[in-house]
Amino acid sequence: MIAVLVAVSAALVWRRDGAHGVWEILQHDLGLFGGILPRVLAGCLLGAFIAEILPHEKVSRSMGPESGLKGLLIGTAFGAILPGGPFTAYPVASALLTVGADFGATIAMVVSWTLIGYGRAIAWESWGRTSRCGGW
Amino acid sequence: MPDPSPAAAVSALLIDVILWGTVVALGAMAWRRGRPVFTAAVRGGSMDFLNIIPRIALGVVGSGYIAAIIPSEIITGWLGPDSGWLGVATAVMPVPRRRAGR
Repeated sequence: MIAVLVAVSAALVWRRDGAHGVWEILQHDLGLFGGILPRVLAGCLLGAFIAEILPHEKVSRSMGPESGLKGLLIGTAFGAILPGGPFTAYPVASALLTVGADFGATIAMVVSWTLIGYGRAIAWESWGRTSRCGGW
Repeated sequence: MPDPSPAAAVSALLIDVILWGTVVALGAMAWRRGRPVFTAAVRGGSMDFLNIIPRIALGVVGSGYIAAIIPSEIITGWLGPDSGWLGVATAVMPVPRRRAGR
């Protein structure tokens, strides 16, 4: 369905802007895609290593269904220090679920990564301030 | 999209270094547990990578075309700073999606 939507959109761009318009967008997006690829690979490897080396019993005990508030706090702390973007966070979240973490603790990790992750803080402080949100 | 400032480029580099440093550290820990553990993890991660790449390619490349044909007034009206609760409701509107393969 997405592929059809993309094809229709590309055809509409072709009609409106010609081949040049289609090529320009393609070039830009391929550049973006190339920049993302190494991070996707890092995220997938990170998730796979975590799934292999984290002891299932310890994860179940500290972040499993019976972990309660402790599991939520551990998930929150882990999300806050997790580097990278969504292509890193979600494979890691998937790995945590694989090794026995509870949905609640995993969601706490993802929410913490989104809201208080240091990577985002650095990115928004340096990039947002200089290029978009000049006043804050 | 504006070019990132030097500070943004440095912070992106810093995050990449930390990310790959973490990957290398975890890889070393897996290696210490034995070559089969390391190989299984690398194989699993690589397969995840290969499986997810077509979807990301479609999303990243396709989003450029979709964004190009949507008039900016529509986006501003529905999701812009003055859209209020309608903007919030539009942003959280559930979108039906096909179940992922894994």
